[in-house]
Amino acid sequence: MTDEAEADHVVHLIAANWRQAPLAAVDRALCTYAEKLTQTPHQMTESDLEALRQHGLDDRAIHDATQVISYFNYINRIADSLQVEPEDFIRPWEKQMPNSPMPLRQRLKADLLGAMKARQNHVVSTLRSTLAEIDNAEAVEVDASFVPMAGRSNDVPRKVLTEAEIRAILQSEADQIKLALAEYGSVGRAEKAAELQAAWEVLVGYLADTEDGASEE
Amino acid sequence: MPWIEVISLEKAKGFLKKEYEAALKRAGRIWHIVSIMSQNPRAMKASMDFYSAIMFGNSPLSRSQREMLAVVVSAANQCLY
Repeated sequence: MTDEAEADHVVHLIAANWRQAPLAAVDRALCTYAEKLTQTPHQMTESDLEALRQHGLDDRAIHDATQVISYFNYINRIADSLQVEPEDFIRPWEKQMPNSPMPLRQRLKADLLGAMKARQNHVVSTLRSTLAEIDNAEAVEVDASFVPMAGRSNDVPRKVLTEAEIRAILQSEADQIKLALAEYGSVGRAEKAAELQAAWEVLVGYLADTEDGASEE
Repeated sequence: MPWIEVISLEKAKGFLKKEYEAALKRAGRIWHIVSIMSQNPRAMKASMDFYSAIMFGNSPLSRSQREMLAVVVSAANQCLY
């Protein structure tokens, strides 16, 4: 991943809950420091810096971290006190019309293209495998004597899944990832766990968005 | 709506206009957190320069570590920014 893509990726993990995000020890120490400096600045002690030094952070790193933390505390206060409205963020994989929600499947495909262009590799692989699952579910069942051909024939009418059924596939994919995540997390495969966490977040993003519309089918 | 007047791009003159145009060129948009400072364009520029220096300048901290700190702080402050 590029540094930018990595930064973006980490943002999504931390936004959910940094304590549960698969972070390196040094990053955990930085988050702990940031939270304390933000919530109880008057309680800071030299030992808080010592905790950072133990993870190899030098004076320059400690200084820079403190500036970043302080800057965001400052800018948060500007935003809160003068009523700065956040921009209507539209992440590339969440594009949708406000009044007529795009069908889920169409959204997944559009977002896959967007993610490919943006080189969001974890989003691309998650969406690809989810679309493949949907394809599988739409394939009409055939008996055991059927010999699969390269490239599927369009002659056989395919089942058309409802939004609720596609939603169920997304949910089951997300559940499977969550299970795998628990295993990887427990054996200390932080990198793999981070990938899975990202994939899980991509999927639950759709589930959260479609909660209201699910019953319309 | 913000609780203080924000000078629009159309009404901006002089230093503020220059800063707005630079922001558009740099970020493709004028972020609300930038335009909220339009009453004092010098402070606006200094604030943005500071932001660039600490978030994008050289540092032993990686870009992702700096973004991580930003998110932890904003979450602790329950602020969307």
